Formats: sequence, structure tokens, C-alpha cells
Amino acid sequence: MRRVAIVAYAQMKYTKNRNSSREVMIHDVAREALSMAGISKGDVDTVINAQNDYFDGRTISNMKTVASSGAYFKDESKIEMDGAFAAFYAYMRILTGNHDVAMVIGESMASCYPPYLPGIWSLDPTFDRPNGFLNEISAAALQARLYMHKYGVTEKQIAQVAVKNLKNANKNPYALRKMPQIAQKDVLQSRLLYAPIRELNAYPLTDGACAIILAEEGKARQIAKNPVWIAGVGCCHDTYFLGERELYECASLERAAEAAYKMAEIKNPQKQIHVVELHENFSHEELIYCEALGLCGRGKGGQLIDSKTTEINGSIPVNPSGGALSANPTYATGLIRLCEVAMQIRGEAGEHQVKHEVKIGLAHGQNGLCAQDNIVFILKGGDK
Amino acid sequence: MAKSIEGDIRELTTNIDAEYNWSVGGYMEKFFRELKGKKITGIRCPVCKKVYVPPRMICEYCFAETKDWIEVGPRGTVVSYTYGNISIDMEKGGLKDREEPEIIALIKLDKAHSCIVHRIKKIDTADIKVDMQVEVVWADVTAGNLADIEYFKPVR
Amino acid sequence: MRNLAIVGIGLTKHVSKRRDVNIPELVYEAVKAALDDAGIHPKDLDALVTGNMPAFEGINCPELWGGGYWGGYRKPLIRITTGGSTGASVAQGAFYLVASGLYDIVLAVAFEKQSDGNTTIGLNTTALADVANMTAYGLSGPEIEASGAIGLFVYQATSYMAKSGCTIEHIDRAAAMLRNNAAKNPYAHLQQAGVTAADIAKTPMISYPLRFGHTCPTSDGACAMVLATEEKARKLSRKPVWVNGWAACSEEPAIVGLFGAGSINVDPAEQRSCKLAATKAYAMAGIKEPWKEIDLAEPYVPFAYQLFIYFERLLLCDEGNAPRLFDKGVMELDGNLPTCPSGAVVSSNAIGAAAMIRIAECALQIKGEAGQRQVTKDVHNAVAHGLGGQANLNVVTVLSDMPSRR
Repeated sequence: MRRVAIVAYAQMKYTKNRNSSREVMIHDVAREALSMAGISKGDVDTVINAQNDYFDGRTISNMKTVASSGAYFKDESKIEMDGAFAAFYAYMRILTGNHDVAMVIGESMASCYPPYLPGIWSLDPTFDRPNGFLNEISAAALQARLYMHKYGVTEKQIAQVAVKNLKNANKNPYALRKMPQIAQKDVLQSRLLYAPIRELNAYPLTDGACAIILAEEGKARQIAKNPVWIAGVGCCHDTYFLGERELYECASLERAAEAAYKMAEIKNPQKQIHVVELHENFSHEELIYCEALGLCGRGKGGQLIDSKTTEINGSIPVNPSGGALSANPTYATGLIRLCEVAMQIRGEAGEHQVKHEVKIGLAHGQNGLCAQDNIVFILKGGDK
Repeated sequence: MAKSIEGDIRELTTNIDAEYNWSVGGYMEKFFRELKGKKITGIRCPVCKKVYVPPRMICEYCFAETKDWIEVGPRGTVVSYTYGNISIDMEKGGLKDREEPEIIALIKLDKAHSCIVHRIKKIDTADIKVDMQVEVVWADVTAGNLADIEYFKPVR
Repeated sequence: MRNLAIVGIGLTKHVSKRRDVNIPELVYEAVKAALDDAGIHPKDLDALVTGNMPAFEGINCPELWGGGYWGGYRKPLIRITTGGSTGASVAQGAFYLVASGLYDIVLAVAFEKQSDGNTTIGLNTTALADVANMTAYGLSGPEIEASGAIGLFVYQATSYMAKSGCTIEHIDRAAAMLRNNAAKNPYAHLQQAGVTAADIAKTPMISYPLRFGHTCPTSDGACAMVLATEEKARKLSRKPVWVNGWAACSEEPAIVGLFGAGSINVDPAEQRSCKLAATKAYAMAGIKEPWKEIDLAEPYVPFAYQLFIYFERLLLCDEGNAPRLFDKGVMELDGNLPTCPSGAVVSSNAIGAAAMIRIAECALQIKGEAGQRQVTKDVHNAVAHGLGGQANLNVVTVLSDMPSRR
């Protein structure tokens, strides 16, 4: 099987309102990624976009981003899911041998669409949607409550996740939400949305895009002196019905991780994974995901955050970039996680670089309320 | 949609008014008809025997077509709950403050395997608990639609 | 790259309104038919690829609600949406997943339930963002329509006619052929047996040269296909249909451009991206002379005149020559290169499904299972095409009764 690596990437300063069209935003990250790779648009074989029609206010949203994404006269397609799934598709394309180099670009602009309505528009239109009770925040709140009830996790522990991530964000030049003095009380006193979720437990509405370039081994070694290999990937789609998923766990993430770990030969994630970047829309999710990924025992998420294991200088740093809590341009977010792990492996994360050596990292993306769909990538640096 | 053209135009806003008429399918049609008679109806998978409400044609776990209609409730158990201090602005998106918090819950109706999400009234936000028992409160006049289930109240 | 084949096909009869089912239930019909055709159960599936055009139903990512009805429970699943070409893009997603070596049996599912929504809104919102600035300057109504679907296709038709000598009578005759083909297709929406070119010519003119009789309906319909590796395909199917070549190519939409700023692409009839995609797909399939080796074609034809354009852009004849070949009967069911024996998109248009149905129809013809619309000649190699966006996203798939890679 071919080996495929991330060879270049580009992020941008995430904002509440970028004050430009999405085409300019896409063009900027595409150009920057090409520049980092030292290749031209002509060297790219295929382009996969991660965009959403409702977020972009454009039906067939990718038909007008052909030029800006560098896809002119190329084999281009669109995944209407979190950008990490677009990276997955690009990876599949390269594995077949049909393409050697892929550009993956994810974007969305909260300044463009009516916030939180697209989540409501994904609900069952025969019951949940007309009833009007469910939305991404209230669903997450039902999950948080159940998680707290099941395992005794406290609001303080959940708030600490936000504190950790937002403190990390202070060191990330791209992050939107920066709160230099953030403490637990800031989170616990922030505006109550759906109990127990408060404003600082929830992601900020963000404009942003991210681009990564994938290449097969031969080209990867030409382009980058430190290609970051895709060692494993797995994804999984769960039932729509919240009451039929045990919300205090994340079975689809467990399965996605299982497939990724198997492919990457990860037998002991706690020991073998050096850095983790999760797409956590709400802070309690991070704890549930850590359990699902086997970074701690079942029900031990509260203890995990207390132990400081997942702090930036802990033994398993989670979201050293600040995660989605610091910036969430939804359709780019999973791609940003891949980008951040690649940066950590290459030692290019600047001030939010993790202190210990990073050879293996995990990146996560999700789609749907309470992460109905999940995807996990295992990335490896070095020559393995 | 038209805007004045003084100065630089940096943003254009458009309202897209679209009306949708979703076919609910035969299973939900029956569910709505039964609501009129103040009955909540679920359907059972012949393979795993789970009862689903609202009823659905396919049990995805068995990939089997469901068959037997079962009346569920009127009581149920709160599996999880939350209360909204805010609501989503259904016109423009974003958050709006609520005057009164609304309690919503994941409720497993008696005899059902699945849960529905609905509102709970007649209880203080401080008093709701996981596992408490609730029962349906019907609208005075039922019409065979979702408004027939007005809310759930605690069983005292 | 390993060989892969279609081992199961499911289609629903396209109609204007399936009021008896909701979206997941409608799509289930096609999924069940495909799984039964392949003789498998969802537990045998390794992944799903799905897509539709969300604007038409007003539901964001409908596989979240419906995926469980389609065998998606706890499976790897990805969603691909590219407008009119969606069905083909979804199929190609499934091809890539199987060909990658990681997934052996993959279900591709595409659909549209147009009756749940408002097709005009769905189509207008492709262009609304680009003409919003025009409305700020007072343009409205007809000018906006001109940049929507009808406007673009009118430009494409008239440009093509000017270059090729194709006349409106050719288009009338093409429409008549397609409508008669559809009458033999139990899945087709519009079935008008016996309709003649003269009948078509009497239908109202929408905008020259598009007559009402040249245009597609809006349909509720779904299509599903089961893709498998060679090893599994040979066990599952007596006659696997080998997917030997595929490619897509995107270009700038013609004329309107971003925010009405114009485009470097001034001729929507050129369709260079279709030629590029076809070239790549044929090369991948080992087809050197498509005009000789291809036995049957299913181009994406929502408007009858496109039968000629895409026959040419799929490299099946010289540019400008399609109308002459049509006149000779080449494209008929008993012709040398039958084209759209299914009746084409002009007879059934559930937009998300339409491009996948082109592939499914080719497969049915290769298998000899196309019933009354089965063409006279033996079909060994076929080409299917999908068109999306503002006629700027082209997706080409080449199928065969033999795997091309040994």
C-alpha cells in the first residue's frame, strides 16, 4: 500500500468576520500551502473541498470555488462534512495511484450563515425540527448532563477543559478566542446557554479556512524534508437518535479510533500517542472523547483533567492549539486538527509547541449533533 | 434585498424564503392520527423487539421493517434534561435571551426503547432529576399534530 | 490499483411526488433493491458514500437522519455533493474507497425528493449570491432568471447550434427519441410512447431554442449501487460490471462569474472539462478509440439539445458531427452507438440521483437486464457522464464486461 504524507499546510488568523469573500479566504490558504510546499498549482492532481451549502449560502457551493482552490481543469470534488473527512477522501484518491498530490481545503464563515440554524436544519423534519426543542447546544447539554450524572464529573472539571484550551490558545497566533487571564470562575460565570453549558464551554462563531497538501511517498520526499505520514484512519456514523446512543460515551468515536489504531499499529494509545487534537464543540465533549480514544479509562474523564495529563506540558497534551473552543470554522476545524498535529510533529507549532518529542499524533473530526459521525487520523513523523 | 450604493459595499444580505412540505411517510401519518385520540404510538421491530417512538419504518440495528404498533406512555422516565436560558433565533440565527427558562428532556416513554425530546413544565429547574417520572399533558383540543402533546409534567 | 465492479443496482420509479414516503423511506427502496440484487446484508458493507442536493429538501446533511435506513449504522460514511453531477461524484467516491484497498464492499446512494421542496428556490440559490449585487443596482426578475439554469442552458444551446449547424428540428427529434426510449423504461418519470418531433415542436417555447418538450421534469427518486473488489464481485455476481475508468474535471462556470464579475469561460458549449475528464477516464480504462470501442453512452442530458453536445464532448465523434450521426440513426436503440436508451435525464430528473442512474443504466445494459429498452447490439463497453454546477463540473465513468487491469 502506498504511503501518503501531509507535506504542507496553511492556516489563517481566525476571526468573527474576515470581511472578505470566502473565495479570497480559500485562495489565500491555497496559495500559502503551495508556497510552503514549494510547488505550483500545476503540481496538484486533485482538489477536495470541505464546504456546506447552507453555511455558504450557495447551492452547489463548490462550483464557484474552482479557480480560488486551484482546481481549474483538475479532478475536484466536495465533501459536505468536517474537513477531516475531506482529507480522508483525498487520502483514498492518492492510495489508488490515480493521483499523487492532493490539495484539501476546508472553510466556513459564521459571519455568513444564520448561526445554529444549519444544525436545526439537519434534524428530522417530521418530529424534532417542528417541535423546536433540539439544536446543537441543547443536544450537547443533554449529553453533558448525562455524562455528569453517570460518572460524577463536575461542572468545574468541565470548565477546566475550557480553561486549559483557552490558555493554550493564548499561545496560538491563529486562535480567535484569546483570554490571557482565564480562570475557572470566568467559565462558570459566563452566560448560561442550555444548562450546564455556558458560553465559554461552547465554541466561538468563526470565519476561517485551512488547507493541507497530501502527497504520495516519492513526491512527499521531494517536497518536504519532514513529511508527516498518515499511519491510520478510521471513521464511523452512528444512529441519529440521541436516546439510542449512550450519550455519556461516544461509540462511533471508539469505532473510528479502533480502525485507525489497528491500521497504525497503536496498541496502547496512552503510551504511544504524543499529542492529540480534537474537534470539541463543547468542553465536556473533550472528556468523553478522551475516554472513547482510550487516553484514560471509561468514566475517568474528570480525573484525567484533574491530573493535568492533558495540559500542554502533560504527558498527553490535548488541544495544545486551543481546539475548537478557541476557533471553530466548522468545515475547516477537523482539517485544522490535522494541520496542528502535523505542526507538532514537525516542531513548527511555535509558542504552543509541546515540550516533549512528538512522533505520533492523533487528529479528530466530527459531523452532526453530539458528534454523530467521527473520524480519527493517526499521523507519524520520522521515517516509519 | 436591494441596498443603497453609497460608499463601499462590503456585505450583501439576502433572505431566502423557502417553504418546504416534507412528506412524513405512512408511519408518521399514523402517529399523528393516533395523537388526535390522545395516544402516543410506537412500532416494534420483529427481530430485536425494540419499540420506537416516533415510529420509523426501519430498525437500523436489524435492518428490518418494523411491524407491530404499540401504544406507549403516557408516563416515562427522564433520561437526561437541560433547561434553556437562551433560545435560537429562528429568523436570523444566533442566541436570544429567554424570559423564562424552558426545560427540555430526553424522555423514555413506558414500553418504548427509544426516547423523545420534549419540554417539561410544572417543576422548578432546580428540582429536575435524571430518572424522575413524568407524564404527558395533552392539549385540550387535539388535532392530530405535534401540538397535541403540550408538555410533560412530573408524576407526583 | 485493484479492479472493482458493480454487483448490485437499485432504482426507484421516478415520479413527480412520492407523498407516501419520507426521504429515508424513499431512499431505502433503492438501497434494499441494490442489496437484494447483490445478495448482501448491511453487515457485509464496509462503507457508504451518499449525496443529494440539499437545497431541494431543505435538510442539511440528510444522511444524519436517514443513514440508518440505508444500512449506515456504525459504518464509515462520507457525504459528497456536487450539484447535478452528485450521483456520479458519489459513485466515484465509492470507486475510490474500494480501489484504495481499504474497503471491499461499498454502497453508493444518491437521491432527490424534489416534491418536498421548491425546485425554483433550489435552482435560484445556485446563482443568488452572484446576482445579489445586481439586485442592489436594481436588476431583478428576468435578469436573475437569465443567470439561473434556463439562462445558462439557452446560451449553451445557441452557441452550440451556431457552431455545429444543429437546428431546432434536430433538438425536437432528439427529444422525441429520448421520450420514446423512456416509455420503455419502467423507472422513468415521463413516459410518452409514440410522441413525435412534430408533437414536441408544438410545445410552448420557454426561451429559444428551449421548448417545453425539450426539458426535464422534477422527480422524486433514488439510486443505489453496490461496489465490490474483484474477488468479492466474482462471488457475488454472475455478471459483475467492471468499473474500468473514471475521472472528473472542473472548470469555471461560463459567463456570470463570481458576483457577476464575468468569467474567462465565455462559451458554455465548449465543455473542455468534459473532454479532459473523458480523455482521462478512457485512458484509465484502456480505451484508445472511444468512437469505435464504446458501444453505448449515457451522457447527462436534462435538455434534449445536450444529447449532441455531450456525445461530442465524450469524444464519441468529431465536434459538430453529432447531429449528422443522429440523423443516420447511430444513437437509436438499434443504432451503432445507442445513446441514452434510458430516456436520459430529460425524462427523469431527481437531481441528486440522475448522474448515478446514468452509470446504473449502462451497467444494466452491459448485463443485458435493461428489459424493453435493452439495445440491439451487445454492450461490452459503455460510458456514463454526469454534469454539475453551472455546467462546469464534469464526471465521466467507463464501464465494461471485462476488467481492464490484470
